[in-house]
Amino acid sequence: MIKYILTIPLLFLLLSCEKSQIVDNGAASQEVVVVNCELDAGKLFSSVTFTRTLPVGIPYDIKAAELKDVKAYLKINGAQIVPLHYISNGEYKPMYNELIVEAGSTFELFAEWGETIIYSTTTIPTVPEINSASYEAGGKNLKANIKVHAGEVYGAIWVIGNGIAKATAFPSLSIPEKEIFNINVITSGMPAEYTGNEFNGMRNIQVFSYDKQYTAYFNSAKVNVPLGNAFMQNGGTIGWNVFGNNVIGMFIGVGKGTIKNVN
Amino acid sequence: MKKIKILQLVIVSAILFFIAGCEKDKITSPFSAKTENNAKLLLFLEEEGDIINKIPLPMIEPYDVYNNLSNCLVIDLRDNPDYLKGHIGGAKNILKDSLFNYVKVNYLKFNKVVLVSASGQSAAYFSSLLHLAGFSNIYYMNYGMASWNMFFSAVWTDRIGKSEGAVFSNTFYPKNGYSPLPEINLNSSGESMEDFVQTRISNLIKEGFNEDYSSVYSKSTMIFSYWIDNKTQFYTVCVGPIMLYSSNPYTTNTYHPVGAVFYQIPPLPSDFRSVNYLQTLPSNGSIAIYSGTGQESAFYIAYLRLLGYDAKSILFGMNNIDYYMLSHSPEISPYAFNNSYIMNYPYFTESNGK
Repeated sequence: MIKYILTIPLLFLLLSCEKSQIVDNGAASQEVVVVNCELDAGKLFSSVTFTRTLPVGIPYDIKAAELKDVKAYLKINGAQIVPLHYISNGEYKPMYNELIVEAGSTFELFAEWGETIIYSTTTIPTVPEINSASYEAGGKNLKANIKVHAGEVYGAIWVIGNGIAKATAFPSLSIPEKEIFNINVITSGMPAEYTGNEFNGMRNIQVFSYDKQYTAYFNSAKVNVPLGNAFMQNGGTIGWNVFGNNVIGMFIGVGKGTIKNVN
Repeated sequence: MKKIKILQLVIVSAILFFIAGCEKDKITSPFSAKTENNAKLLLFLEEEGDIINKIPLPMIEPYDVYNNLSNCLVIDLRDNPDYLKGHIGGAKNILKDSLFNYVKVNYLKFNKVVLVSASGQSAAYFSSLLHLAGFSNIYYMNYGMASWNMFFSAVWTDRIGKSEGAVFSNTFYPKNGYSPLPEINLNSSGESMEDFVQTRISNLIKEGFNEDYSSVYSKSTMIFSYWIDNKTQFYTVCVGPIMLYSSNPYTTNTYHPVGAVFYQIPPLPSDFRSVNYLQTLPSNGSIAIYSGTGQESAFYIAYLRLLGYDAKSILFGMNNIDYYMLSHSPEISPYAFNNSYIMNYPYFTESNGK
């Protein structure tokens, strides 16, 4: 009798958790849908890209990876519906190139691909405004002091001249705490070759703002690995913000500040 | 006693494991989002060409019909007694209940299919719906039988004038904020959007468009006098060239009915595009739309009614609202019906037409 009494709770334990099947997107052999969209504050909406990962050993080819028959639309601020239409290479756009991505607005992505339902949402950050820009102690890093807004995180890169060289990644994200109105955002260190006098007047900083959801992606993605590779190869451990069974990707609002000269 | 304690421990442990083990479900649980039928309808209509926001009005002048009768299928939409009193030679008298299927079967046999009604307004409405159904060679004859021969023109000449009691304004009233699209329910689960649209268009055509002025108010139309008495019930829209909204040759303070909001239509970028102002139209109230002749507003309310909006066309448009203002503003005077539009082409009656 005791045996049965001991067994029943254990069975209950095992059976009750059966439904919590967690899809392992990290399984390299599993095909997943990949969604990629950056919504640039103050600019025209560009596109959403729908692709799928290819089996291991198959060279990446957009023609093989693109999805042409997704039914997709945007919902803006919980009301306005903007259908998206296939253009090429997995890209989907509004029928008219007239949609401005306004800071502060909320964009939701709804899509269907066969039986797969895809959803994501993001809030468009404000374009960062730099109060002041200077060198961080040590002289290799640049920093900018910016006004912060709720729900946003910030990163910065150094830019030489008009972009003859620039950082490819943020060293970290600046995440404002509550009741903070301004924050410093710091770049990675510039290579020594750009710290000499011959580059005086050409060292600039550019600050980016993101929907705070970007933090999970940033913290989980391998720094210095180009974003596109993660999208092509599938990355189960990355903090994606696009949801659906066997769906990964980012649908994220970004504000790109103007480039400001430091020295 | 010891066994009971062990038993208690196991049960408590199992429950704790259950709660803790399943806690992560809250993080990884499937999201509940699902796509919406109204959005999928809008997506479908855009995929089919977004013709309402792209094509010019499919209007054909009586002289084009007269000179190309052999290439046209002319469909007379009027009731049979009116048809028998006089109709265009070769015109088929097809009523709304059978119009969709008749066009579906015959539209490819002719270069053009011309819809003719008494005033042109119901023909414009049905031409819009048939275009949305994918029949791209459908036209409505401008001003209907009224422009074919003076025998039929009273339907227009009796309506031109000014409705008493209207208040006009020169204020450029702002559009509403964005609101959700009207709810759409499929006829059955699993129904394709294409099937849904075809059925819905067929039903809208059968529902009809009452262009009879004496009817005052119907599902899809009203006369301006009715609007005057009930204007607070409507979000009022002017469609057409901006001068229709903002022009008055005699004064600077009476342009359009008070409260009316302007929406631009093709060939300029249409305000009814999804990326523009379509959803500034209210989905939870009635919309009254006027235009120059009532034919343009009839054309656009067909699209809006397909989307589920409660949109109504104000019959005869500015011709009945303020004909004097319309006919004396050079930019918009072409919308003013006049005797030069009446062609006096021959018509056939019951006795000589059969």
